[in-house]
Amino acid sequence: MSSVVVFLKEAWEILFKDLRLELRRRYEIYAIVIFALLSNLSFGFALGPLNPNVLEFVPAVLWISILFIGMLSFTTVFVREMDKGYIDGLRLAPISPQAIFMGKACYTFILMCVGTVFLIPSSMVLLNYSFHSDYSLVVLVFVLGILNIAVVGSMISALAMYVESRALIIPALSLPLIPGTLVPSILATGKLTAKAQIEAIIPELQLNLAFLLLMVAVLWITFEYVLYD
Amino acid sequence: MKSQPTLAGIFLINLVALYMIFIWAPPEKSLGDFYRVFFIHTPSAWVSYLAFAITFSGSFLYLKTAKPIWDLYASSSAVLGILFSLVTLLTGSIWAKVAWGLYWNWDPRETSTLILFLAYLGYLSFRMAIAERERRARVSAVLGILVFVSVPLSYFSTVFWSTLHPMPLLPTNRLQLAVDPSILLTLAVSTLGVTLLFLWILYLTINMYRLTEAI
Repeated sequence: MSSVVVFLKEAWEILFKDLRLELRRRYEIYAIVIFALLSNLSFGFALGPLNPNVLEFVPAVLWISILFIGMLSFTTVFVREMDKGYIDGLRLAPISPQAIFMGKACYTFILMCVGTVFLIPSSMVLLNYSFHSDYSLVVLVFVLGILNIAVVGSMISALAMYVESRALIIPALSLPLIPGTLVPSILATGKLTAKAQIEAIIPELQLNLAFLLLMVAVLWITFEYVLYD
Repeated sequence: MKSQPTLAGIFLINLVALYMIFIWAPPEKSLGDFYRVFFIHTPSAWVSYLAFAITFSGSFLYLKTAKPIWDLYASSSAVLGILFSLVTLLTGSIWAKVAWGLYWNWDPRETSTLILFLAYLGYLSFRMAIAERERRARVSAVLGILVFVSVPLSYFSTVFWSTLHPMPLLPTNRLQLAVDPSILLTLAVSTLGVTLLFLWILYLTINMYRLTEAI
């Protein structure tokens, strides 16, 4: 088998392990879905019912909610392995550290996507708005933005597993790193609510893609130092 | 004893810089004497980038060699970078009030510099939260490389997004401020003075930590 196939297979093993564990427990998915619905309600109260200027706030409301959905998953993705003592099993497994990271980042990405799938339609109903652009562009913007947040958040989660006060350190570390992707994602979503075509959001997509490549490159080089003592 | 002439030289250069800033440089056409804060703001911004670049390099070298000295460089430089970026933020706010009317305008450069400041504060608090020395150095080195992403984000923010702030000379290759040559010379001297001051404090800080560890 080629090294790429081996790598993908290893990453899949990690992802499958986490998904199977989560499907058995389910509480993380339930918490994320409940949070997505509650955040819409909270923003609805804050903005006022049937606010005529809701479209101005929707991009920020959605991405702030997605960011906090991410925070819920960052606090568990690697920390759980440390708390339960499984981290040594991961270290000893014949799996490359990069594949472990990729599997964990994909797991975070899937959890965040599940939350977003509930967040966006419910916000369209509760806040009374719709995207006037091609829905494939909406999916593209959200997938790229969520992928960036999942990659950064998984790395922060891996670093935070060595720290005692994890709940405090994870937001303190991830919030200053995430604006690099959050700002272009909010700008692109704002354009999509105003009937924009793909040409209008290309600069934001390029920025997000550059951010993703940069982060993956940094993590590729450094992750083994995080995992192994 | 060797350090005394060096300190005297740095003191002298900074004294000359202060003279040029407050007496020698002429008032600016539109901002009058208020613009003089620029001679502290710009060198502080440059030095904060330099400090964070040293943190990045120290972190990278620690991961490569596992020598504790590189961790010392990384952490000491991060502390000073935070101080200088705080000076950049404060002087930038004063300048913004004079030039744009508000202390805080949510300009991309202002905002990205605040993010940079917070990112490195997070780096320091992360270091404080790990007790074991070798583990702290290793994991912080990874974070030191990761948070460096905020530096190009801050530097190029004026290129990517519409801004009130002047564009950087690199990569735009043009100086947007129409300025008197004496102002440019004053900026060069004050930048040299602040850079040397930073390097001197960094040297002192590293020596202080070395002695503390030896004791």
